Amino acid sequence: MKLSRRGLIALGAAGLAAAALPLAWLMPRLRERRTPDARTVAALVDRMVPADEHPGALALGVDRALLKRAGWHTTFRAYLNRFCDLLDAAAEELRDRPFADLPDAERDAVLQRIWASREEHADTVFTVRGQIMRAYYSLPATWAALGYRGPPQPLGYHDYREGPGA
Amino acid sequence: MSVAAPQQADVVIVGAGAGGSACAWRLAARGIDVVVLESGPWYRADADYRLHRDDWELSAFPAKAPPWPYTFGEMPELDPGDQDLRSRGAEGRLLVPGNRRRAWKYHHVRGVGGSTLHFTGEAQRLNPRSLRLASEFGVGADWPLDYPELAAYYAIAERQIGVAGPARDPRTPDAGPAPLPPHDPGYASRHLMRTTRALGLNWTPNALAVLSRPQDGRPSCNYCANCNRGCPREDKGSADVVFARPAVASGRCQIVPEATVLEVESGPNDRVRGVVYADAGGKRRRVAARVVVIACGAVLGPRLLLNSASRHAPEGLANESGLVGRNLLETQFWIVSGLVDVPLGSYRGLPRDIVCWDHNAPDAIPGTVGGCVLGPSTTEIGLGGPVAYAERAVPGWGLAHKRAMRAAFGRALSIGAVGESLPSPGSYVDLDPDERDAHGLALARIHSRPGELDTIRLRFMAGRVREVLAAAGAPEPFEEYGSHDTFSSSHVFGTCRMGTDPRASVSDPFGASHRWRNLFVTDASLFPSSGGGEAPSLTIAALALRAADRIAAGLAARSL
Repeated sequence: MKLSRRGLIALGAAGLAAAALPLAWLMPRLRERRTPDARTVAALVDRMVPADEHPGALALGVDRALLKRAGWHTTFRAYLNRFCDLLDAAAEELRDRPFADLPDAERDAVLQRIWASREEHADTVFTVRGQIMRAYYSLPATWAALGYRGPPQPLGYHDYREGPGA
Repeated sequence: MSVAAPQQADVVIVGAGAGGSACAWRLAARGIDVVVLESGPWYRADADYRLHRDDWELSAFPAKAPPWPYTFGEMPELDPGDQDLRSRGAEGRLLVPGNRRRAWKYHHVRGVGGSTLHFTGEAQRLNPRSLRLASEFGVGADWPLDYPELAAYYAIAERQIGVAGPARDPRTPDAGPAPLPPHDPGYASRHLMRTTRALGLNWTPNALAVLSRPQDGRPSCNYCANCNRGCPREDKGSADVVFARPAVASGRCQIVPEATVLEVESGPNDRVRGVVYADAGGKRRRVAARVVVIACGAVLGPRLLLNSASRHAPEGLANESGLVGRNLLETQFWIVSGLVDVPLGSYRGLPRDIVCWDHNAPDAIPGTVGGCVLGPSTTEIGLGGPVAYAERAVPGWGLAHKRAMRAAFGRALSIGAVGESLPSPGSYVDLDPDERDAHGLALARIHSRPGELDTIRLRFMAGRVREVLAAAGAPEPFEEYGSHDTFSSSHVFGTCRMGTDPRASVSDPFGASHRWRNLFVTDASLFPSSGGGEAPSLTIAALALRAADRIAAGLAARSL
């Protein structure tokens, strides 16, 4: 069979497209299979809920809880990886260093920049933020600061008619 | 090992929720042998519920069996002119992006007790005027019974459940006081009553299936505010506690959990013969019965009837009118939440301890037919602990967020309105032609297209609850959402509508099929209208008790 020049070009383009297709299919999946970088996650958690007179999220192991969740929840792992990528990209742009290598004030500046554009990455930002908050505020060590006594049962709230702290 | 039902019973009931359990209890008390087949498990209050755990907030009701699968038909496009009815979360973010209504969820629980396992415990009677929508207001359908007939069974159900409520309900002045005294309103609700006085709203203690005094070995409530996550003390009168367990204790009732009914068998002479079910191990079994009762709700009930088509009933069982699955009525609601400027400790108390009936009558809302009910919803929608505040009520991050959390905790207040849902040609349940379950049976498919009168009512409800919340001290909500852009229904009705005309209804006024005289329905699919926002479980139980008496009489007279 003799192919025209136009036919050869068309065949070549199709071959290239076919070769590229698995890569295009594979790359996002490979990216999402990465284990999130533990240092970046720790730095994120530390700034999202920092220590003050009460413990911060890092001291209470929230970073480990996130990594554990990312180990089995593939969708969350993808979000966490994306958030880490956003942090590192912004940090490189601002200070030419990864997010985890920045001092606290500069980490906050990076996080503030991402927060300011949160609607562009809404699913990523709100999913990861939500998991950090869930992990942190479900820990008993965080409740005293809020004046919260703890789980609803077995005591219930027999004082429910009174003002709080009455 | 799978539990097998006897091969024969006087009555076999499909589903152990509010309707099935109440029917079984009444029949067993009358000496009739009953078998109840329930697709879900029993729940053990002391072992299955999690309100004592540190991580209690991380899961809602701890379902032991996944909801029964179903699908949705295409949801309608949203009118760009209805932006004021779009659901919004923190910082005004749209919760439903795009311009098509979101098919989210039919909230139901599989298990003995059914959806009462996760209900808030409202035990309200219907407004008598809402039973006459067609004759008095020209929409929907009338109930084929008089209110006093229903009232007699309301009273029986209320006693058995242990309903705590006011001495007088302004809508039903002849009803007399609830069996137990009402719960005192909590601190947050008293704030609401005080601050909204200028709006002229009449708040009253709600009627609740929650004990205000010990009864039948059950303790009174300790006001933990989380009825929806399963009551570990059993002071909440879920159907497993107040109907199913006493029915079993009578020695006349066997409840078979994890038994999935596949087919109601029809025979000649317009009689059904029994049911075929798959037990927990997947083995097919059969129970023959003199009477079959369907009580698995307004989505799965019609599915079972339509999947039970046979040569005797080629269009589906009891579907001679073509109305099985039609007239689906859903939960029309709007909830708005904000942070008030004073500490309330609003994570305590009962989730819906007070109620406002001012707009409940069918003609109470201008420009539409069908009323609504207002009430607090704070812990009912999960704003009962630090996690919910951090995720939903307090935006941001960092030290500012921590400080804001300390200021905000306990100050959330949510106001909810639940309203009438009118029948619409686009709202129905049918069989999905493409999706099947593990037994090869077609799944139920939910279609929902609320009409213009529903939108008018919803706009009124949204406006009213925003007004109430602002008066209570939270003029800027952090979240508001509703049924305009989302199908999210726990209360569904109407798909085996009862009536006197066999051409316009599926069941007769007692829930019996017009044709299949030993086939009954005793769940919310009977409702010709939804009511003006009242929670349906008490009415379901009352109808089931009434049907049980009809069945008992028929069995005694050998007419069934």
